[in-house]
Amino acid sequence: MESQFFVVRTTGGQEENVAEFIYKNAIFNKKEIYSILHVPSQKGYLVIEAKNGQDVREAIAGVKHVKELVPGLLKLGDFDKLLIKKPAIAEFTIGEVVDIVMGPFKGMKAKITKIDLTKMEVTVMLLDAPYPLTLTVDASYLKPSKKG
Amino acid sequence: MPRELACRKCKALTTGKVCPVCNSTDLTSKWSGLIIILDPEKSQVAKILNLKASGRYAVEVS
Repeated sequence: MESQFFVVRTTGGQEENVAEFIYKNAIFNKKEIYSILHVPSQKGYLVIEAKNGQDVREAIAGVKHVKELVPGLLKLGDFDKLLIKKPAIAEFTIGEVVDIVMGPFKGMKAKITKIDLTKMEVTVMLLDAPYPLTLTVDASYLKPSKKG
Repeated sequence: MPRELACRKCKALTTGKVCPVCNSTDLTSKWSGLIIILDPEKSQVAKILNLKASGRYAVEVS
């Protein structure tokens, strides 16, 4: 049987302490808990991967700052994007129109002509310039242009 | 207890000067989030993140 994902609500700011206590409880009482996650953007919540809800209920019993076990289950697909961050350069494609957000050309629109994944650099052609001007910038200098 | 350091390569957390998982010395104090892997064989999270050893890991490392 595959593992299930449970959500535990905690006092805000105490997620890591609670995770440590649950970890120790699970080890000491030999509970079938496989992993415990705290994602920085999800304040006040922990995700616990376990075999079943009974093990989670027993592991969180009596732990300070635990508010409740949230009813229902989470799917891995619901939060895997929060765990795996793609580098900014992976979001771009050749021919895409982007906004330059840093440097002397800040605020200008540009079209991507080349992507260098090893150097994390992108070569763009400025669209707002009166003559064709290409420049190579770091991927962090660019943001996908808003459509419309 | 001093704040732990995270390995820039494998994101493992340690209080020492060497990463216990990959033996790297490229450590940083700038990390956030926490992943505790208890059973890397059965954990789906360990599989998608390619974590082979149990232990504590950061979610984001800068």
